[in-house]
Amino acid sequence: MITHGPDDAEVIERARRDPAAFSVLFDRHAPALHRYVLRRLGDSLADDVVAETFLTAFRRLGRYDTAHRDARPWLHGIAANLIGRHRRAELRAYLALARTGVDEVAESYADRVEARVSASALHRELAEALAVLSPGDREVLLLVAWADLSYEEVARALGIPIGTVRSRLHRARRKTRAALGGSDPSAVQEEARRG
Amino acid sequence: MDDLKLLGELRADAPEPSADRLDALRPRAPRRRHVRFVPPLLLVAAAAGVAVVVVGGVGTPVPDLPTTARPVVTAGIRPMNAEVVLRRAARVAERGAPVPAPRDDQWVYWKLLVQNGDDPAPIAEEYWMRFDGTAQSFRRAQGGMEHLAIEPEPGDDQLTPREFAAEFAELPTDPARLLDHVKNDPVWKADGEHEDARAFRVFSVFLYQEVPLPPKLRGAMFRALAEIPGVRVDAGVRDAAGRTGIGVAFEGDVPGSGVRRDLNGQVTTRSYLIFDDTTYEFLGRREERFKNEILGTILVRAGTEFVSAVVATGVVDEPGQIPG
Repeated sequence: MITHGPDDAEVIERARRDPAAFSVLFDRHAPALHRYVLRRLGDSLADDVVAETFLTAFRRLGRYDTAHRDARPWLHGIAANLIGRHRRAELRAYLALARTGVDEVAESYADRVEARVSASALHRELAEALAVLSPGDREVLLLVAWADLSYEEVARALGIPIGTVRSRLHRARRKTRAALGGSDPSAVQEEARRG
Repeated sequence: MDDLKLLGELRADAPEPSADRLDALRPRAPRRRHVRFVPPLLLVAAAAGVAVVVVGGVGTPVPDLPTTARPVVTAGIRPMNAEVVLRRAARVAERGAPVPAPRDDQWVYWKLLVQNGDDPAPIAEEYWMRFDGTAQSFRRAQGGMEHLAIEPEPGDDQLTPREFAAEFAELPTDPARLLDHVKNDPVWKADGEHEDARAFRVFSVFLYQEVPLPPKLRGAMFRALAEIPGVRVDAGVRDAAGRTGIGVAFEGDVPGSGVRRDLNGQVTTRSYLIFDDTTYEFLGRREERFKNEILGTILVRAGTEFVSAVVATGVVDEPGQIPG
């Protein structure tokens, strides 16, 4: 039985000498990363971005800091750059969702027959908020909300100080809550806890 | 109303991809140009995946496989005195003739034989790399020529042949200074890697480029290799063309060496650079795995994982031409 596989840092050390080991990293992280990219950019771009992310990771194996046992932040950092190249497509989908209630990203992966479910008013407001956030703020917000990275992991992924992660997230959430038409003190407390 | 929770519900029905779809996205090579940290053809090994057996998800029992599914080839291999052999190699290398630099619009040709894991026989691979690094052509076995235009990409790890030639021309030819340089050049730094392992890795990369090392630098490299603790030399190591030569491998017993050992301290893999035992020309590489090993969800079987042989090199004017 396999209970304890090597951690990512061990796999990367190995892959520097023995590229077959890179498959382990791919098998471990590609499914969730693909889902994350799919959620941001839709079905037609997800394959390219994920393939390019892992190819880039492969090329940069030598630079990975093996003090970090989990490679997810590193991979998300590479993916964030690639996702950024499709910013206009990403924004267009948020804006369309906000205006029409039709989410072209969700439709891209859903079975078309049963798609076309109009989004809730809250989701439309949320999409509007996502569209108007600055790219840096949106990146932090979605890495926390959709990729489940901790503040420290987001900092590592984006190569920014953890204080900047906090301030970006704070700003992003404030704007999001404003768009949703209210503020909730409990949310702010929760934010303090997570850090 | 929790904004994060609400955000978490947006597009929450996004599925994970099917295994087939994902499989098509695995890094495959050669796509663009050679990877700085890993010889290009090892990438083919990764893509072909022949040396690994997928055993399913975490928690799946490992099927019983014979431990000697692929015999480890150690017959005829004899340990040598590394210092003596490498010093002799240095003296021979230093007497070599200098190699003229190609023009930017010429192509560096490289023909290799490559045998991965369970391949029944070596496969020929031919590369034509434009000296300025802007294009590459490639042919595998009897297949058609593939042509790739190469866009320079910031942050890419790879140098063009021209850049490698420039670097080779500038590297110190004093062995101690050369060793110090490759240990500390930030370009080659990989976190967590011991400097001895890095030095050996960087020399391996230099040798696996289309651009030959100038004679003085080759000599310095052999002398520097002799100074790295844990470098071993074996005679009788065979390349993919069936030629035997001396095998040079790094097995430093230091943290961050990248050398895998079992609980008894025995190495579990060995990666040779093979040189002709008279001319000390670089012949190829050989990777042996002495024990079955589980990496995450894959079982990697003991045996010869990879063998290559550089069988022709040269400079031509057009891709597709073979040096005469």
